Amino acid sequence: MSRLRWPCCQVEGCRRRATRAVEVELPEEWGPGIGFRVLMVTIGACREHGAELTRRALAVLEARGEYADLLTVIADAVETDGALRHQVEALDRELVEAAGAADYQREHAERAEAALRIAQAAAAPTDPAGVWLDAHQAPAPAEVEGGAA
Amino acid sequence: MVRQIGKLQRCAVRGCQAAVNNMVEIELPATWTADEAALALVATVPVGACRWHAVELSRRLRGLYAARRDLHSALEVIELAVATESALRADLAAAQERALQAQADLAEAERTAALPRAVAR
Repeated sequence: MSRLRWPCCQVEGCRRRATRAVEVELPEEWGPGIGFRVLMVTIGACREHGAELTRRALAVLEARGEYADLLTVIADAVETDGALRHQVEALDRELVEAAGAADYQREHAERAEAALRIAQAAAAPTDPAGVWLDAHQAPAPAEVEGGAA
Repeated sequence: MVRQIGKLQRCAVRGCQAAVNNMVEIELPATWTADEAALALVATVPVGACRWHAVELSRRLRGLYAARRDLHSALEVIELAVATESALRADLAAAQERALQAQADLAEAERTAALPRAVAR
């Protein structure tokens, strides 16, 4: 009659008796989905390794969830990054256009001022000093007449 | 737990009754932190599997190891993304401020351009 041989702990290098069955769940894939299917593997382990393997098996499942979250965070960051870059580029374009419009208005103002000066000079040909006055500095009538009054 | 069919062991995958004809080594990481040195801390567990499940287990284990290695890179990518987003938000705020200034300049230029016409009238 053969004696029943007790199985050993399956952890490499351990020769102790297997007293616990640890179930390790291996995820099918590590993509960014919420749900995932697992393949369950049963491992015989001694008391000490049983506790350690259980902890590591749970850590694998937690890591699976967190890894998916990380991928989601990265995907969101890429999207945010793209949107922000788009906004900055659009504002830069608007700034270039606004600068062009401001330059145009300045040039327009300068031309209008020059035209006004010419018109004023034409309207006052008897100015003795030959100096025409700017519309902004229009003198009082008494001053034009020499202040004699 | 190691199960047997007579003298033959059964596949370690739950629910599989097939005989073992492959051995797969499962390496379970000690930690999932981003520490590179922790990559070496694994518990190796050889398990017996049938032909079909040996292939499937190997595939899943490759995925697990790749995820373990990529975790460090993923955390670095996230750190970089946070820094980039912060810089872009600063750029955006600066551009918005410049846009406000440009609007004010434009309004001023329009007023200046309108002044000689008003005087001429």
